[in-house]
Amino acid sequence: MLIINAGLFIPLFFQSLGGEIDNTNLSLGGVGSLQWSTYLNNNMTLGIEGGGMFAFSPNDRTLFMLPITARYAYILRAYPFEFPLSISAGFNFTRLSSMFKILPIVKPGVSAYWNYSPEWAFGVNFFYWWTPNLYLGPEPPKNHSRFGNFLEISLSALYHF
Amino acid sequence: MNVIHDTVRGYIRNFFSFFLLVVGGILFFACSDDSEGIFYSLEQEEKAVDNSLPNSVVITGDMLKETIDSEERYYVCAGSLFYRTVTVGDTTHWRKIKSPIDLGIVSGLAKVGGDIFVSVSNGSKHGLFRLNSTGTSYETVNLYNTREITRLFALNGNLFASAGTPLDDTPELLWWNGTNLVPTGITQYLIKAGAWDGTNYWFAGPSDLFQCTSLPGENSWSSVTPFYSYGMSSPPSSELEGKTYFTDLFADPDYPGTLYLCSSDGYILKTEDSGTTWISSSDHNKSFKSITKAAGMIILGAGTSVIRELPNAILEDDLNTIERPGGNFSRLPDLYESNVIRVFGFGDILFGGTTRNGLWRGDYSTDVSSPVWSQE
Repeated sequence: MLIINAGLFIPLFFQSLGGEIDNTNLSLGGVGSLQWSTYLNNNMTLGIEGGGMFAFSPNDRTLFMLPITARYAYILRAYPFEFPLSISAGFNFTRLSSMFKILPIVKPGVSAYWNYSPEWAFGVNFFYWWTPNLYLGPEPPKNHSRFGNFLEISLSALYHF
Repeated sequence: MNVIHDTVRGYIRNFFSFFLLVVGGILFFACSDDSEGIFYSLEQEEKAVDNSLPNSVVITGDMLKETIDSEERYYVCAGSLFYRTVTVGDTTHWRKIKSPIDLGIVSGLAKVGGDIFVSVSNGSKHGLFRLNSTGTSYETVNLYNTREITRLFALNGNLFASAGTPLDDTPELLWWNGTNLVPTGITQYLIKAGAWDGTNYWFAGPSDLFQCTSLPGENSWSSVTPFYSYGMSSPPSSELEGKTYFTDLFADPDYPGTLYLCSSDGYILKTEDSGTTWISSSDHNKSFKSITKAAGMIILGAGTSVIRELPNAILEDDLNTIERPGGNFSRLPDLYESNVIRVFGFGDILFGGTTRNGLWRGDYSTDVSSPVWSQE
């Protein structure tokens, strides 16, 4: 099946290695992604997802993150609805101004789909983005390490082959 | 059916193996040479306080602080010439003075003998103009239109002009004799900086340093030879040996005979006895573009980098300890990521002129270790 998603990207907070929570200073952003999955059995799918987000800093710098992840989903069904519980993991190509780094990313989430026809379903996703931005020093120093926490709320269209 | 499933699973397994190999390879080879963390940078960022000067302008020339018409003003070359009042408040609007040459870029600004001189060029038309008595527009008379003036220097009450461009094979230094710009005798050198140390006139080209003890007079300086040139067999000081790519000079008015020289290949040099002896920093691996003094410190503008402070240069002759400014400096990425090509010090106020992020102001008056930065 092929899934296309588009929606809002909500910056939540940054967390330091010491556990302190701080504001991301990012604006509300936009997110979109394309996902291909195949059924392993009646309730489980495995696939690949590529997408991207943008959001703006207070001085209008743009943060871009382009994650490429492998995605596993377990589907709960209550016809005509489906509720995939998913987790994605992969790599997150992150750019801010001239800074660039490839970060790991984990995206747990839940979706709700309404099956419009045997081929098409429409729904909404709630994906939590957890992406560590870690440094060992000396530049950038270790105390610049942060865990990024974001929320994706997106609308989704699903097509069954 | 099982055979088909096994085949599909085999494809999936191979696909994910390939995917992980490619991504792992990218991750392994991707290097980051950033100086700060990406998320950390966002976390620290704050909205810059912003005055009305366009933020995308290039600072193309000098800056002045002058009292004209009973009003204390800043003037700055930012493509066009802009000015604003100082005394009314720091958020008073900048005003643009319409260029006397269509699409003219202002390259130099200097006050001599009560007149403010401004050099303007659009590449094909050139000019040297005076501002009118109220300092709000140009006088119509073009005082010099022969060649493009790239810099103006007001030294000891005298006006000097560096004429010619890097594409021009005969650049020269000119002197204003009261009615005309006349040759000084320094030709074939593109002068980028000038200073008056209380006794001597100093001029720096990219690889040359000139020292002159008197004015050129009507017949120009005779037989002017560089005080120092890169590659000369017997430099006046071993500390100068091998130094080149000079970008700016600063003579400290509080210490006559003291001169600072910076270079785009990372060195800072200092003399306290009008050039008899010199000290040099080690290679800072920075591209220094401009040097000045503010808040009792020597401060440098650096290309592809940021403003740097030399906190111990004046009293301890320490040219090696450089620091990033404090205060909210590190919360303003448009400032600390900027290419700072000009720095201007006015007491406790420092201005940093950039190549694409306009003009920034650091107010050191409250706390020298924690200046308040804002964008003009």
